[in-house]
Amino acid sequence: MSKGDRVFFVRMNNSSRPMPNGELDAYLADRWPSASELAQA
Amino acid sequence: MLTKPDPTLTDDEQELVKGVAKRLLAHVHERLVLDWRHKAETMADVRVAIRDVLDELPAEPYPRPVYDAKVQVVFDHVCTVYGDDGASVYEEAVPVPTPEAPSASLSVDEITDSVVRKIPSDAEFAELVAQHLRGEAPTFARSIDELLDNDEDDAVEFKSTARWDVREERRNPALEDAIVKTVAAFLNCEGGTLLIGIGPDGSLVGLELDYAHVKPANGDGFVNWLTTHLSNALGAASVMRTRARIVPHAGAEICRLDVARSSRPSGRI
Repeated sequence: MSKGDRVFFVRMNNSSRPMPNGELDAYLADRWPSASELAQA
Repeated sequence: MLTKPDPTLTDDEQELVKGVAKRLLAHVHERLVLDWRHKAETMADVRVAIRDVLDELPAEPYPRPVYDAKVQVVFDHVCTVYGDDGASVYEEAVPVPTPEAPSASLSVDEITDSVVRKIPSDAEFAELVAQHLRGEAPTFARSIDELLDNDEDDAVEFKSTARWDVREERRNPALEDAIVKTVAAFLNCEGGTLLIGIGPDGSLVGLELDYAHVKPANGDGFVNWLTTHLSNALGAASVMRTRARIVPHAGAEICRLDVARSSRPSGRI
């Protein structure tokens, strides 16, 4: 990973992979709804 | 949960915290209704109840950051453990476990008696036993042999080394990054266990190659380096949800790093 890149890693089966940016907001809202609400407030 | 991994309490404080824990359980039960996890108002009510009861914790060993962390841990635990019908997994009938291999100092009868006595009074322990019986034990509750009996999966990862690249015969920062990625991924999913010193095929590598690149060149130095490395990359709060241990295995030493799921998004690196 190069400096400046900000990547959110998740576990997918037997590997650790970056969550695609297009799916990240939905994942965060589903997994930590209260955190997402706070972020939007 | 209120005392692990910290704070350390005096005997008087322990009694006080036990009382708080009992009141907490009663208050939470009162608020669990059908489909509670799907109702924002009820979830908020549960969180407020947790905050109110934990507010009774003594301020000295529970300063604000610790208090906030405990509230989150308890809330996450309630979300996990209590079903939408408000019933706790603790209320399920838990069959008496039959340990296959007794420890060196305890007989099977002694273990059985101890487990049976503990189940009714220790809900977390009962849940662990139930998970074992369902074959769903979290990785932190599995032995090294149990972990190695299976391949890597969504909660188990093997890494040959953390610093020394065996193929290129040099210290390789990419390997250090790979450790961070795995820990971040565990934090952001369901947690898991990383074994360092174990090849991807489950073969034993040990930590000697990495020991040569930490100070002091031993397990203590390795865990110290690992903790600092993860803390720099992910933050101290994330590292506090991990537990690193050097464990002997088949005549060598390996590092076992257990990672709990994070209560908030972690490791956007």
